Amino acid sequence: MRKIFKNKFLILSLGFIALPLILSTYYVNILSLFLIMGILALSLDLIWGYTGILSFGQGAFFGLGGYTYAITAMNLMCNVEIRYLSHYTVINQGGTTYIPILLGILLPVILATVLGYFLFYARVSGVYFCIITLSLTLILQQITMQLVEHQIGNIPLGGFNGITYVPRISIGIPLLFYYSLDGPNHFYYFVLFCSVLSLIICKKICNSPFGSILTAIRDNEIRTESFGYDIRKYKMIVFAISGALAGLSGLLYCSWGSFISPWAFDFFLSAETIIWVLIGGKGTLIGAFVGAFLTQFLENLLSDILIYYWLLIMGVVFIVIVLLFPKGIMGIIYGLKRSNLKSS
Amino acid sequence: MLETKGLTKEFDGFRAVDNLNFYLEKGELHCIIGPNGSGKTTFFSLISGFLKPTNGDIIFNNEKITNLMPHQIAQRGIIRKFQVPNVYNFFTLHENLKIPSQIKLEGKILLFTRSSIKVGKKIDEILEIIQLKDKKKEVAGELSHGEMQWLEIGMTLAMEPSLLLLDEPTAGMTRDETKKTAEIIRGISNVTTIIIIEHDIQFIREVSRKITVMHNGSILTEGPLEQIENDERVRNVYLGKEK
Repeated sequence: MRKIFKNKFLILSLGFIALPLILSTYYVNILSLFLIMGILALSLDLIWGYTGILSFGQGAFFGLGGYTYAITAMNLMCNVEIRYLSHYTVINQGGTTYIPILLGILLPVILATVLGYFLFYARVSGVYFCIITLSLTLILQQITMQLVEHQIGNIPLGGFNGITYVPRISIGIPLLFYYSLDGPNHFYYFVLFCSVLSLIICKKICNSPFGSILTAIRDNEIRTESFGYDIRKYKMIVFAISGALAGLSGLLYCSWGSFISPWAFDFFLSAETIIWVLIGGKGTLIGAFVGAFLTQFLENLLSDILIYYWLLIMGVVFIVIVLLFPKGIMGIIYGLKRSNLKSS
Repeated sequence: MLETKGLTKEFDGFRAVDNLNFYLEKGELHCIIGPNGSGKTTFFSLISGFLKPTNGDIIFNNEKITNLMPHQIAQRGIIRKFQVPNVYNFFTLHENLKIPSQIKLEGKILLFTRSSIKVGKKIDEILEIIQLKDKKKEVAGELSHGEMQWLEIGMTLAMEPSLLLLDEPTAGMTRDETKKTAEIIRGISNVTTIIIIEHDIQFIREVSRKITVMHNGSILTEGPLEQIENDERVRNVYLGKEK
């Protein structure tokens, strides 16, 4: 069974590697965005699908990752000349972006750990956890909207307009040479690499004894606790990992559009992430990507064809899938496989 | 081994457990009986840390465990089987037993590791004891009530507890199933100390040597079965004939 998974995974990855050869630049860019949102959905699936904690706060880590990346990358690499208020011109001096990437992951992890410590050790769970994480996201959104002229380093935060001219991710050897991933294909491959890596890491975690404890917590918290597991600690760790993934997704998003704004902390992004995970199939990991892909693809397609009614149709699709296939698309696929096995 | 001193738990003025002084020797198989609402399950919850006492102390192996968290108490070897079967409904039997086995055998759980062969062996051993070997791959939620009870007993066994708390292990079982449960419990009583809450007097006759009768949150009387059966007060509380 494991072999089949690996082979399919390999074929799928190869397919994604080949895609830019047949797609136009526009679609490669869109595909990158889909993958980035897939990582965000993956971060939610790890905490919700596997551990049973519904977090509305993925947007907080997503935005924090994006903002951290933008601010550190611009401070380290750019000459910024402020014209007035938050309008500025930027001269990119180049260099590698390892530090911004690292901080863009680290800060969300710290936020998640601190938040997890206070919430899980105070035994906040269920709906209350949802509400608190949602509030945190909205608070961060309000803060970033209010901070217009305030600067971190020499970068104005820009309030509602956000931060623009954020440099693309660039790799290389620090101080020797660097290569900026400006081309859509290059950036796409980097995002693909990050997606595959996160998926493999999550799969490894979920297959380890640690992963079995996560599902044990989801299935029966009290039983797990009375076997001597400190469930608060496990929840905190998985929340931190999920924060790291959401942060990674945020910084990739920021680099993708060279732009980050308070939209990243938006309620709708967090809510959409939940829909992606639901549609793809909760607790399947790969389903997070499937859901994010399918939903965004449909959104793109429908909003082209039906300028006014596409939202209505999306709503109907969501309701139908959630009502008829509560286990999502991966649930359907796994179900078919199982019935095939039984009949043969 | 286990001692409670003046243990009291109040819920909004109602004393579920009232000034309870309980003493347990190592290696005992002790039964607690008593009418509904006499505080038996509350007593278990206090020992296992799920409830904090209003007053009094719990001492286990010369250590005060009154204010420890449930998982810390479990780590000290007090493992509880709940009244309603409390297993992982969506897991297979194998996975159910894996959760307690791996913490017992490996202690620290690390990311990215695989569970060792020892865990697999341990699981097979337990399945042998609770006689569910042929259902290893079945999902726990689809087991019969009795089998679920055995599975949970098996899971507590995997922890190799030094004190096992069994809350009505035979509730809802048929006569044959009860017999088998008694067999299992007699088997494990050689290696561990056990406290059982039970109503089934037939079952108690088969396993227990010492009985405590609880009434209104405190101990009414203690002693071997014959003495309890002939005690006037015990009959009164069970038949509701208050003097």
